[in-house]
Amino acid sequence: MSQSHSSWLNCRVKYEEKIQMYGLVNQAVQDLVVTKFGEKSWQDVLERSGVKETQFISSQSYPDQTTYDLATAASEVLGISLKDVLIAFGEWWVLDTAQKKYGHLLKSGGPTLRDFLLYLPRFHSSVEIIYPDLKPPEFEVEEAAPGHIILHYFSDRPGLTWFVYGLIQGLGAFHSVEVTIEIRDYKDHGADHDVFIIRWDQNPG
Amino acid sequence: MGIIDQSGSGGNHNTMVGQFHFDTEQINEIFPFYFIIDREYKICFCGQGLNKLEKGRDVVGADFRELFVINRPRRFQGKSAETLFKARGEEFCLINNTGVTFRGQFQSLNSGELGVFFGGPWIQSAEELEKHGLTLNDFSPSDPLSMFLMILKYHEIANTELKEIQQLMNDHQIKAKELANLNQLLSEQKAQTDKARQRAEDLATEKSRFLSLMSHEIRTPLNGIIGGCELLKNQELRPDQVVPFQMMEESVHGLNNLVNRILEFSQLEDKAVSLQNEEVALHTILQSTLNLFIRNAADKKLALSMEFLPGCPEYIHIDPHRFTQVLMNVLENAIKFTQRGSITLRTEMIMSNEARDSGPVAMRISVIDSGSGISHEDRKRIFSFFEIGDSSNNRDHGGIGMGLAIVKHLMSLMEGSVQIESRLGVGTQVILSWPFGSIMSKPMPTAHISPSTKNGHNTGQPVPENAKPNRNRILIVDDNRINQLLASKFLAKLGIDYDVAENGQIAIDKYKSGHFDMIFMDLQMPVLDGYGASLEIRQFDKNVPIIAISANARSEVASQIKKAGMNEFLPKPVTMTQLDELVGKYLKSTSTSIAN
Ligand code: HEM
Repeated sequence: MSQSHSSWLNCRVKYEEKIQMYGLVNQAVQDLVVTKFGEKSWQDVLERSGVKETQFISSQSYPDQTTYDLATAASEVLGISLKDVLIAFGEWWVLDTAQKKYGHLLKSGGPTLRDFLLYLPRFHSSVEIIYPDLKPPEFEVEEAAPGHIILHYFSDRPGLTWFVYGLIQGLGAFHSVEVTIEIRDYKDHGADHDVFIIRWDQNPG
Repeated sequence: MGIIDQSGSGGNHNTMVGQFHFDTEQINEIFPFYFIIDREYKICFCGQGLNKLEKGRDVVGADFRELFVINRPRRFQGKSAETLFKARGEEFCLINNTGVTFRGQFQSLNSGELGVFFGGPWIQSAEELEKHGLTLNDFSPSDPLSMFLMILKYHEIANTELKEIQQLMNDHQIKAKELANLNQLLSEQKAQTDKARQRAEDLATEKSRFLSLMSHEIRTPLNGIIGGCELLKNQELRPDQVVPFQMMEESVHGLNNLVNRILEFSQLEDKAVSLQNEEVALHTILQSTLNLFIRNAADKKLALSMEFLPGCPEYIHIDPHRFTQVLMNVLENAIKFTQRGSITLRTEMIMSNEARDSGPVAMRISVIDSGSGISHEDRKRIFSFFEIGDSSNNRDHGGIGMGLAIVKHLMSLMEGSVQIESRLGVGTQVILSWPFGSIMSKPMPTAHISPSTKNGHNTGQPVPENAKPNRNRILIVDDNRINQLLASKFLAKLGIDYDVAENGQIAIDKYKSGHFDMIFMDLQMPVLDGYGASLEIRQFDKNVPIIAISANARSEVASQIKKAGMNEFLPKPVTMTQLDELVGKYLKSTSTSIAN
């Protein structure tokens, strides 16, 4: 965890003001903190982060640094490790933000976890149509066996491994299956990209 | 165009397009909802998507017309299959038996033997997609449906966000309107209050003006009557004239008192009173105030005494005029309500309870009488305007109970307090007290200032004795003939020479041509008023005492006469005693001549 944290610090130098992220991501961070910890905590997080904005607009771009600063501040203010903040945010993104706002669209990728994961590589290209400056993640999926998928995650952005971990957990919960996730390759530990091995029980119950 | 190899199914069906070959698998990946029909409308091949949509029903082998209706172009309805194959650039809109709309186009294959439909279902929402058991993965990446759905979704999201914003704006507008209404209400109320305040102020000014006028109008004739009485008093009256004369004299004094009190009180109410504190010799001022009542007390055979207890300061810091006013009111009341016995004016210092040597905490002046006393009930009302201790006694005492109301007002102005202790039939004690701090005198200057000489203009500038003729001369400046007459009679009695001027201009002329030791100056006069005349005289004579005499007793007058260079102000009606005092004060050397 401390490793990923230090890479976050590196990324501050490397990515400052270069890469931008759409405001809906920061909105979701805000939503998560306000809902789970209260408005007061969010104000504390905002203050701690040094971020000037008090309200984010979903279709406006903000520097990645803003999102990183918010996550770091949340970890410090709420006394939760950065890893847990990222996981929580991944779950929140799928189970709350995406579901609340995009509803059936999340299902249109497929009615099962398998279908959705297989469609994931194509998913963000349709997001791009509404957010033209999107720098989407890239995914590659291999179906090793039923209930066993290997997910490759490629990104220009550093330090988001645990976020994707949380996203996958969220997707499992969304499709009512219990997933176990193993991180086989870890980009922050020198791998080319992150590789997740995802397994779940095909016939639960 | 291409040729379809129809041999078998599931095998390697190569379709040649120009010099390229596509197999049905590839076509399936590009157009998952494609199908191929022959001239009899029989479906020979179809894509995976179409199979999935038809949910396991055999599509291959089925009649196109059982599955689809040509919705548009309508001119192709009921036409032969070959007609469709030839309609190459035409956009077709088919509807299947579950209501799904297909968009696409026909192309002929194998020289018109077969026809292929390239297209797919036209899905309008993610919900509809789900309803038909499809996912975006069933569509080819070249199909814009996923983008289309995302745009629709985004549109929907934007709409919801817009509605939320509109709601917020509405709420704000309603709140803003409420605030505006409230604001309007408040400003209306403020306008009303302002109006009411303005009216109150106008009324106060009006009242002030009226009182000033009344004071002048009433005091001038009153002056005449009082003066007349004083003159008559010194004459032999026929025995039958004595009682009516006494009645007249008492009534006119009562009336004078009444007018004075009303004016005094109205001044206090106006808050026009400001304190002019100075160092005052305590014993002297007490004694001289008490002296004013010696005659009244003697008339009622009351013993009047003063107790000045040890520890009292020599000087106090106070407004001498207001201090005297308070004492006079209290003493006057005491005399008025005491039929027999005594009245005592006691002054003492109150020490702190805790430590004897910590110095005085207050000064207390008590006026103790042996009068009828005031009932407990009356004591509560006694400080209010126009009330009197025993209403049945009104006539007897010939006064009104404004005195104590004035006292209370003035005492609070001077940071002191007034208190009454009384027992019916035994007597009353009016206690005036001041916190020591508020009246404590500053370290005394070496030269003692006494109230009686403070305003004396000749103080420190003695007129050389030899420059003056033996007898003093006074210039009386007044346009009212009765006033002229009275003043001249008084002065004659005091053995003082005088001359009369009818207005300010005549006064200046007379003063320039003759020698005068003092001037009595009326203020309101035709041609040139008292202020103008005094200013002019001060141009060439800074010393001659000028005494303003006017029926207008308003406090503003005091500052105006000072500005005009006059020494002192005497309200009308002026009594002989007052004139005597003035003469004694300003023209000391003449005291012997009075004796003549
Ligand atoms: C309705 C669903 C979703 C929407 C609208 C959406 C939209 C977005 C947007 C706007 C970004 C920010 C990229 C930018 O602004 O440049 C993003 C990033 C990302 N999304 Fe999604 N997303 C969705 C679902 C998912 C899901 C289910 C996953 C599952 C793994 C996912 C994985 C990611 C990752 C890993 C990133 C980080 C970008 C990077 O690595 O560079 N998203 N997404």
